[in-house]
Amino acid sequence: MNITQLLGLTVRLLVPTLLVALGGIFSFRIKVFPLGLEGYMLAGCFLAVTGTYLFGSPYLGMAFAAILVMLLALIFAFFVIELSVNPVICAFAINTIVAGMTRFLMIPVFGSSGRIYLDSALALPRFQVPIIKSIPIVADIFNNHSALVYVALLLPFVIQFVYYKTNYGLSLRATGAYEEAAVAVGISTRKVRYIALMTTGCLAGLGGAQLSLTANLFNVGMTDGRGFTALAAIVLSAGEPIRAFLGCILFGLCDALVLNLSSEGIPIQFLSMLPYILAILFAVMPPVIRKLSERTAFSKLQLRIRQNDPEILASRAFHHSVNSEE
Amino acid sequence: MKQKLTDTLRGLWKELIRKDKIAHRISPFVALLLSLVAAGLVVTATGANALEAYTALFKGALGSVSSIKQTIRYTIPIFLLGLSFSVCSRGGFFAIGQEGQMYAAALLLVCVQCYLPHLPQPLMMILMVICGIVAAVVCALIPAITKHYFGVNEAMVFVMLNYISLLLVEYLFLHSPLRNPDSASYPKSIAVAPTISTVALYIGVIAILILFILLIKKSIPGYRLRMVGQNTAYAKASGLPVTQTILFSAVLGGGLAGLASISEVLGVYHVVYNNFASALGFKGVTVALLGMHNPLGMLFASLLLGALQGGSVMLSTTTDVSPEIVSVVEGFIMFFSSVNLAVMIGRITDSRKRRKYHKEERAAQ
Amino acid sequence: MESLVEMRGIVKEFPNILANDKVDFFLDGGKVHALVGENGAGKTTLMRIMFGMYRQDEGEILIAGKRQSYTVAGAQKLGIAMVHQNFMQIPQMSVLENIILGHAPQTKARGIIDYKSARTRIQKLLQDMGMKLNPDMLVQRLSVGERQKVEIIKALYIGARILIFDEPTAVLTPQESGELFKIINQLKSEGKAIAYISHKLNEVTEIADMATVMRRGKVVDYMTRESGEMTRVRLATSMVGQDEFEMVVSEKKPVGAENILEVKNLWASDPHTQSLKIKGLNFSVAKGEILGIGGVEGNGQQELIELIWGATKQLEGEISLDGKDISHTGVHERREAGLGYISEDRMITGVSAEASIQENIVGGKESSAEFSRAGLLRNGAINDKTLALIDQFDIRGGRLNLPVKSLSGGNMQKVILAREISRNPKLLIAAHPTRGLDIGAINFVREQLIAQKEKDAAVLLITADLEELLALSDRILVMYEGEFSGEVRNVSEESIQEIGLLMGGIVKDAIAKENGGKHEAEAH
Repeated sequence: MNITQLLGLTVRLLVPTLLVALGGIFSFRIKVFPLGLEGYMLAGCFLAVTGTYLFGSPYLGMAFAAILVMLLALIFAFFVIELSVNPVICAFAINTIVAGMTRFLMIPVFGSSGRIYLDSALALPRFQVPIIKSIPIVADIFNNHSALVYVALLLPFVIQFVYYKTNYGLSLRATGAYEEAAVAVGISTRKVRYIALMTTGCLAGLGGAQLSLTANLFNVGMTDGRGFTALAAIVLSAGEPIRAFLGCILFGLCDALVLNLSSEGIPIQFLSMLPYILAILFAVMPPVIRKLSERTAFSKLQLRIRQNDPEILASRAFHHSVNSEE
Repeated sequence: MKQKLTDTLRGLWKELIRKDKIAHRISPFVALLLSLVAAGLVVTATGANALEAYTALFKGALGSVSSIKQTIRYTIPIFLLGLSFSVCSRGGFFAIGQEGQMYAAALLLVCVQCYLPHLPQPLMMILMVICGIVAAVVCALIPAITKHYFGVNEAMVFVMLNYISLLLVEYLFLHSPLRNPDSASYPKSIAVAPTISTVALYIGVIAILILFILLIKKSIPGYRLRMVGQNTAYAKASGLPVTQTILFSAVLGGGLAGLASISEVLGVYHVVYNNFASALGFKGVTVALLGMHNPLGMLFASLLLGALQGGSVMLSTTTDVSPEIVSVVEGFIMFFSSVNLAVMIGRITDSRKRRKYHKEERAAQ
Repeated sequence: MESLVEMRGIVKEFPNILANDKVDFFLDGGKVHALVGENGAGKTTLMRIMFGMYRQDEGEILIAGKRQSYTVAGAQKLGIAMVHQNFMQIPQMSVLENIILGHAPQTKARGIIDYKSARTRIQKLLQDMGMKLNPDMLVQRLSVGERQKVEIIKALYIGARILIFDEPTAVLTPQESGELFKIINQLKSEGKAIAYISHKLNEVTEIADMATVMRRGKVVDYMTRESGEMTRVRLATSMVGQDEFEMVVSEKKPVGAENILEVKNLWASDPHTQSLKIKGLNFSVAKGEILGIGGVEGNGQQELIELIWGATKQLEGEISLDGKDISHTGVHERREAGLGYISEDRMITGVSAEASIQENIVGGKESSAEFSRAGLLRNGAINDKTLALIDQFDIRGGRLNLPVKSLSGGNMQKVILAREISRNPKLLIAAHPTRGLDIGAINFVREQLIAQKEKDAAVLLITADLEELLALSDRILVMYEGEFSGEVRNVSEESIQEIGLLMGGIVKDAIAKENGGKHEAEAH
């Protein structure tokens, strides 16, 4: 496979994870760690195929998935916001339930366990983009994708706009950074939280839908940890949509490489590990740097004190000492 | 005399119906009930008979001696994992990375097996146990350190480590020099020679249970763990060794998870195969929640989950219901147990009080 | 001429405390009215009522002559703004974003913020006030003084004409204080009405047109600048009052020479901002002495306590306990060396609320021979000790296995006292030991502290309650801005005026030259 084909594959592979990551950022921004993305995504995969099967159109299937996963996220939001449930446990509970349910429902709904294929007539239509299709290299990478791919590639910028230029974005950032201050100026942080958590569900569901509908099948355990790869991208991004995009591109590239090289007997596991290792490193780095800088700042201060720095001495207004003996 | 008796009885009754304590006591049963109902609804929605399914489960789990043995065999690792999660939880440390710890332990078991194949059995077993535990402990310490010293969310680190461990084990089977040359394709496994008899497992688990109870209730580290988990600021001001305690709880948690892995590999399967721990994933968490972190409660909760698993085989043979429903039930149990009933009731009464106050305020204006 | 704000007969009661007792207060446009008093006098409560955070139990508020009743949202509409001590600012967002938060101007497309018009308006305000701030700078990069300016612009942005300042210079350097005063004068010239809460008397005399002094919830004095009555001495005297002490008083006796605690050249800074909180303290506490550290809260007392008991080890200087250097040791070693600590915040550092009484009693000594054997706790011994202490200290409602949170505040404090005192400390730190307690409990605590003194322990008492300070201390050091503004030996009832001055930062026989707010005190 040549490089342009590889990049084209990268684009195709990164989109589902990107959608999930972009959704997860909303939760991340309000300090709810999005550990339920795997469950949302898997539910999206399953519901999209089911919906396409039921309604006879992949787009309706996609909408079906997005709406239902959003409702699932609403339940999660209710439990976490109103009933003070621990979000970590609740998220994993949802992951477990979704995993179990998708396996369980295979036979009742589709009549076979393990994998079902959708009719090729129900496949997602691919688009030939007018100008792009004529440019040689760019065409290989960006042409002939389904609709959601193009939407997803633009979405990070849309979300960036929402975060920094709209009312909701301002309220969201405020609620996440310092809720008391937001409440003090009259923002309904509860509303902000609900909307954020539901958006996470909606986008994650879409990501799952994209995954299953692109392949035109559903496979038990289809997401295979992609929800957590998205989480790794979120950790790398520190909540910034564009950075998450870059992270997803990197991980998509790794995925593409893994697909290509796995048949060659190369230990691709280490490549697959990359997202997770990077996430841990990126999470640990800022506090380490902060601690180091605090320590150096303090030693500098200590030095100035010991050297009787005039500025330090001038900060004192009184110069006597008080002891029992005097 | 009679007055005293009635006073005591009244006191006991009051204690029993204390609002906060009641919620605490019935919580697990409510959670269990809700889960069974929810899963039952799912089953009914697919056209099968929920009652039939539950009966089959029950029979499969406890119907015969051999099925009881199976149930217990499933229970053991779940129980150990529950203890592992609970011990860390007491220190305020969310150790949800048991899968990763188990894989790490298994990794080292395999290494010992393959690099030192000619060791005499007893020695090899001891070495394996030690290495396995150490591996799991390291896996648990990493998030503990990043949390305590750098304030990083330990749930995230655990989850990432889970996948890293999983991938390392996969590498082990497919590409490493230790791979089994005969199985060039799926399924992948590596045989491990030493075995632990079932009886030894039973004894081991009971011993661990007793030690655990002793640790939590009477020992000094257990006391420190409690205090640190309840109020870290107070612990620090009292001079308790906070860092030491937190790291100790991680070590203990890792050790227990390692033991779970060892019991599965050496005691049950005698091979390490790919994904062997994935089913056990978060059962430890469920058990700890359902058992409300009480050792005996967790024992019963593990038996419950073990029974569910043990009974699932009977489901597939006697009903149309897919055995996957068991994981659905488990998921629901985890979901409903995560709700703290007392807190929920507190919030409802609070919001009622608030609404009443607002009404009065408006009336007063 | 009618005042812009008039508060008449305000009464506000909290459980256990009558915070405001028929208080009158007013604000005129273009004038600064200072509100002076010690901690707990009721000033913050009164201003919070004015700001709409609390509702008064009795009395009325008139804004521009009209009776009003409002909450915080309503206060905004009436043009009332408060510049708090704890800024409600979001560090990771820019100055501009913090100012417009909650009321951002919209473009024609709803939901999208019109940054341009917001920016123009803010820049005009900055210019009018003479502030040099970059609206796009992240708040976390600003100095404290600059952040305060942002608070002020926030208030002006929403159109405030009444501003309440709560101890604004508590967090400022002298230069920044000077800039603040320039800003206040500018606000005055624009006709804004300003309320100024402060305990720093030199500032009050510099900036205020009139001053109301509060004590124990009541207004005890009122003076205006024009009349010439507003002097620091009068303010200080009214602030502390001349009271008779009915409560427990310790007998002052000449002190033995042996020092238990010695602190030399202690410096410490805030870990995040690196601003100095403790500036070169030197002092000691002798055997059988109660040393009282007084001063208005926030002048470094908290930091000092934390340095001594070991919460932070980042310090410069030396601390020694009975000859042993503990400057860099851990908490456990300090306690083993004989340090006892009654914390200022029962619920946070004093006890573990969920744990039982006996678990709290054991805290820190769980590995001692008394309470443990071979790694296991000796529950029998622990329970016996707990019961004995419950008896000795008369802990009402105390039972084994009862979670401490079920006890009342006073009894919880008794548990803490029992624990610390039963260990016979050489140095007992008592930080705000009677805060939030009723009279009975207060007297009990005081008796215990005096008993410790009789036993030849050294007691370091930190309290903002002047009465307590005078009643218990053999010697008093007053803290002001991280240093000791002065020492009072031979504590008696007459010392109260001296202490009042020291609390306000006025060192006796020092000539303080006000130079843009900078102090220049002659060295002793």
